[in-house]
Amino acid sequence: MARLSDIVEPMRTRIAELDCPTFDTEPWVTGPPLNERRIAMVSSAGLLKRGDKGFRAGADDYREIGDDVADRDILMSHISVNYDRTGFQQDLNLVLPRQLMHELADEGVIGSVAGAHYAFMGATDPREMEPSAHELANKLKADNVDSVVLIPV
Amino acid sequence: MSALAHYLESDGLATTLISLIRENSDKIRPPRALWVPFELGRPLGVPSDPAFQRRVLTAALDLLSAKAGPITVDFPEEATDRHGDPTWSPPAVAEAGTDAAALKAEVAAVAALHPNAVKARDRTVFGLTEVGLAEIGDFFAALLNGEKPASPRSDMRLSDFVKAAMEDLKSAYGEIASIGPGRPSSMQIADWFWGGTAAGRALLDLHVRWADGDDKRLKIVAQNFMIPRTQRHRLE
Repeated sequence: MARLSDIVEPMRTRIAELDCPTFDTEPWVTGPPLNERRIAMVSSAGLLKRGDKGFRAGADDYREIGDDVADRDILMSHISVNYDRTGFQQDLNLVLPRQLMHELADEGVIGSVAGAHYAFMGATDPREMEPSAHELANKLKADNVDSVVLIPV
Repeated sequence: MSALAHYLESDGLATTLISLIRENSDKIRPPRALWVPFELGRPLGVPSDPAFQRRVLTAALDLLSAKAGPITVDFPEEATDRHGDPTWSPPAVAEAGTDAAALKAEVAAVAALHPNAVKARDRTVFGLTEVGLAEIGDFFAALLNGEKPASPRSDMRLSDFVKAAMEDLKSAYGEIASIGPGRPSSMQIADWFWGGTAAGRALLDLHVRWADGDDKRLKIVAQNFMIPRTQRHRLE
């Protein structure tokens, strides 16, 4: 799976016919070598810290997860029931690979790991998220982040 | 995700994206995308396999060094655990019956095993509701009995609490099911929960009542956010 042919109907048709935004521009940002980059992760899994307010249908905002938040305090509050959560239950790195990112930083493969990572709830139309995305970009730049890995669910 | 990549790149940040649905990414054309042939919910591929996950992550990061784009690359490996484990057997907690008593007894059995699963992983994703598993069991038992209990959280309306409580319930069952022995697939765990437990039967029962009921918010939950598509055949 996630080949469309492996997804059950009517979800398959819904995904195939999803009204995706298209853009007139193709932004392309260059940067330093990978081993000099400061990298954050942005998830669409509805992740949040224990005690944070959960995501509701239509949520266009995001939650901040400090890089030092304990694994045991990261939960998932996505509204969809049509994807697997048992992998996340077993291993946070399957969805938010903080441990791997730090290993890569320690080995000098990447420069450094951002001070915080962020999560949206991916069932919302991404066009609704645009203002939050621009706000997030400013936060990331304030942390001297130059590159972002986006991880769906 | 692809649109978020576009927005962040437009603001001067270089982005690379793991894509689970290639068809959607191809429409939006994010700057850099690694398509992975994994199950929805598993963007890094295989739980508890850091070597596999690292190959996925580094393949995505390598795209940051691409000279021009938009660029989409296919990850060449399949997940290694997609066919499940025939040696796995579910935890011995399931209660027969569809009544509230069976549900409460079963949830008590799950609650007895759950601390071991939490201890083994030093982690749990249970806790969206911030109430205990027994209270969640009592809550759904009351609903099964036709009562309409107040939301145990004064800051969450009933439908929001129901949604969070369902996720907490499934988390506790899932965490004890996957602790071993054996490495069950997601479908093995889902088939056990929805087809073999009193909790699964309770949610299927409540779905039928709410989907045809008068409470608009519970109706929305039932129709959209309750029974996975892969398990809806159990409603027929």
